[in-house]
Amino acid sequence: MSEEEGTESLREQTPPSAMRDMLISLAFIVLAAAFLAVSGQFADVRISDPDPGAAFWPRATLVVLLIASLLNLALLYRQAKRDDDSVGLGAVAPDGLGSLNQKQRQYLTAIGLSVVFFFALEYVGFFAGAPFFLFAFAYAIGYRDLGKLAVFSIVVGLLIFFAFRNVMNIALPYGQGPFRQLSVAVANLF
Amino acid sequence: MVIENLAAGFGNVLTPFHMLLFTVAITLGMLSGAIPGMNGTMTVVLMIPVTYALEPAAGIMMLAVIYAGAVYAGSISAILFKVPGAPEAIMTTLDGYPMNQNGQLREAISTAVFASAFGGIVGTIILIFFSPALAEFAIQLSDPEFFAVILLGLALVSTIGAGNVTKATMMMSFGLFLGVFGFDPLTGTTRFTFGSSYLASGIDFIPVILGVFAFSEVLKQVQSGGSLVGGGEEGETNLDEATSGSMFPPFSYFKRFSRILGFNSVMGTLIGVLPGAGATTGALFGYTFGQRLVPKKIREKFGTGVPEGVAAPEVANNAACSGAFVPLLTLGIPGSATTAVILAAFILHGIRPGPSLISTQGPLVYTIFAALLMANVAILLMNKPIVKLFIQVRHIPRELLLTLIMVFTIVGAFATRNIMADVWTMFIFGIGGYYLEKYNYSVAPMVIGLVLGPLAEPSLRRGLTKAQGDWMVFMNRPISAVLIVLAVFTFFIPLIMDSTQFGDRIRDRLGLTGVDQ
Repeated sequence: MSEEEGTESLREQTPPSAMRDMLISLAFIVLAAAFLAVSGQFADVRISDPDPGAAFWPRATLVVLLIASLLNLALLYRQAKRDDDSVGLGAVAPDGLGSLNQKQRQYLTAIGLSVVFFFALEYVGFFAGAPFFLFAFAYAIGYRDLGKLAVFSIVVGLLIFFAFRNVMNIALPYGQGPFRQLSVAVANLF
Repeated sequence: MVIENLAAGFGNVLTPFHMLLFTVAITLGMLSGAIPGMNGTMTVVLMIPVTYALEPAAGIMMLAVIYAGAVYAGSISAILFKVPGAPEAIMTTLDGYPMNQNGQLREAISTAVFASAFGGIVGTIILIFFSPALAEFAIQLSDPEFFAVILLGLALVSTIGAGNVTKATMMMSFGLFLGVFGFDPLTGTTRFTFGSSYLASGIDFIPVILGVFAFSEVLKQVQSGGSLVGGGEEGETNLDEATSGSMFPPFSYFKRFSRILGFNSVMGTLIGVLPGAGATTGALFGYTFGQRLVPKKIREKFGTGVPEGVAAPEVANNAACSGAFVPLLTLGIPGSATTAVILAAFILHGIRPGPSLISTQGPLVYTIFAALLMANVAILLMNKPIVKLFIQVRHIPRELLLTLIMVFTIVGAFATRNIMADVWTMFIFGIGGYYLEKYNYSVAPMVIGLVLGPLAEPSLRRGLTKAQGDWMVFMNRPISAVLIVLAVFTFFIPLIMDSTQFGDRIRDRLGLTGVDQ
C-alpha cells in the first residue's frame, strides 16, 4: 500500500466530526427559524374561515424540523461529551485544502467541470459542449486511453443528443448564436 | 363470465398486429423506465398521437403496457447506478444499489424482476375480479382518509435511515418543507418564491432525486476511488445454479419473500386505488411495510443491501400500477399521473370511463386486462436475458461508467421540464446529499417527504374546510381514525420495541425473533 493510499484509508476510517454534524443541525435550525419568520407574509391568506391558511402547513413542517434539529443537536452534544471529545467536539477531519490527495483533487475537479458545463450549456449548447465535457470528466477521474476516450465522447454526446431530440422529442439546450445555428442544423439533418 | 371475457381479451391481444404493438410498447416502456429523465408518464404522453391511428383497444392497450414496463424498468438503473430510472424506483435504490456494491448485482436484478412481475400479476388479478368493489370502497374515501393514509406513510418513514429516528424525522420534515415552495394549492398565493419564477413553479422532485441519489453517488465514488458496479461474484453461484435451464427466477423466492409478496401485493394494489397516490407512493409504503414483515435480524439490515429491501418496494409499486387502473376504469378518476394521461386518451377516442365502462366497452376493458397480465408475465419470462444483459455493465471501465451516469443525470434533470434551473437544483442537492449522507442523514426520508407533502396538504386543508375547521373530522370517520391511531403507534412502537426488554419479550411471543428466511 502506498503512503497516499494508506493516508486515504485512514481518512476513510475517521469517524465524521461531531462538530460538523452539529453544524448541520444548526444550519437546519437557522433555516427553519428564518422561514418561519418569512411565513408571516402569507399567514392570513385563506379560502374561507375554516381553512387554516396558506402558512399552516409550511409552519407545521418547519416546527417539526426545528424540534427534530434541536433534539438532534442536544443528542450530538451529549454524545460528544460522553466520548470525551476524542473524536467529538474538538476533532476536525484532516481534509483541509492544504493536504489534497489525488482522489480529493479528482473530486474537486469533477465538481468544477460540472459547474463549467452547466454554465457552458446555456451558451454553447449540448451538441457542442457534451463531447468536451465527457472527455474532460473521464480524463479528470483517471481514464487515460485518449483514442478510445475521444471516440466515446463524440459517439455518446451525439447519441444522447439525437435520441432525446428525435426519439423522445426533448430538445436539449441548443446554446446561443452560432452554436444554436449549428445545433438546429444538425438536429434537422434527421 | 369474467373468464370468458378475459379469454376474449387474450384472443384480441394475441393477434399479430396487437402482438407487434405489445412488443413495441413493452420495449418502449422498459427503455423509458430505465433511462433517467424519461419516465412512463412522459412516454405515454408522447405516444398519444400514435393512438389516433389505432382503434381504441389497441391504442389504450399500448399505453397501459408502456406504463407497466416503465414501472418495472426503473429498478434496473436504481440497482446498477443508484439512479432511479423513474420515481417509482426511489426505494429500490436503498437496498438494490448496496446489493450491487456487495457483489450481488445478479441477485438484486433477479429479485426485482421476480417481485415486479409478482406484484403486477396479483394487482392485475385483483383489478380484474374486484374492480367494482374496490371502486365502491375508493369512492367512500374522502380527504380525511387520504390525509390519514399519508400521515401513516410519514410515520413509517421514521424507520428509514440507519435507525436514527431524530435524523430521519429531520430529513422527512425538510422534504415536506421543500414541497411547499410555489403556489399554495388552495388559494393560489405564492409561498417562499422571493420573486423567482422558477420557485413559483415549485421544487420538482426529479432533479432532487437525481441529485441526492445519482450525482452525490458519482462524487462519492470519485473521491473514494470505488466503483458503481460491484465486481464480486460471491454468493451468486447458487443463484446461477438455481436459474440454469429455466427462464424463471429461483422458486425459492416464493418461500423467501412469502410475507412480503402476499402483503405488499394486496396493499400496493389498495394504495394504487387511492386517487392521486400511484406507484411511487406504493413503493414508499411497500418498503416500510417490508421492514415490518421480516424478522428483526433482517429488518436491521434494511438499507445495507438485503434482497427483501428490493422485493418489498418492487412488489408494491407494480401492484399499485395495476391498482391505479381501478378508479380510472370504474370511476373515471385517474389513480396516478400516468393514468390521468391514459384517461385523456380514452376521452380522445370518445370513450368516457365510469361505472358502466365494463358493461358497455367489455372487449376494450378485457383487452387492457389481458395485456397487463401478459406484460407482467413477459417481464418474468425475460428475467434471465435481462439479468445477463445488464451484468455486462461490469465490463465498462469505471471512469467511463461514472462519466455516463454524470451526463445522464444532467440530461435527466434538464429533460423533466426543459429548464436549466432544474440542473442547478440537481447540483445543489447532489452536493448537499453527499455531505448529509456522510454524516448519516439518510436522504430517502427527505425525498419521501417531498413526494408526500404536496399530497398531504390539500387533503388536510380541504378536510378541515369541509368540516368547518373541526379537527375531530379526522377521528370521527372510522377509516381515518384507525389510520391515524396506526400512524401514532407506528411512530412510537418501534422505539419501544427496539429499546426495551418488553419489546424483546413481545417479539419472542409473536415468533418474530430469529425466524429464518
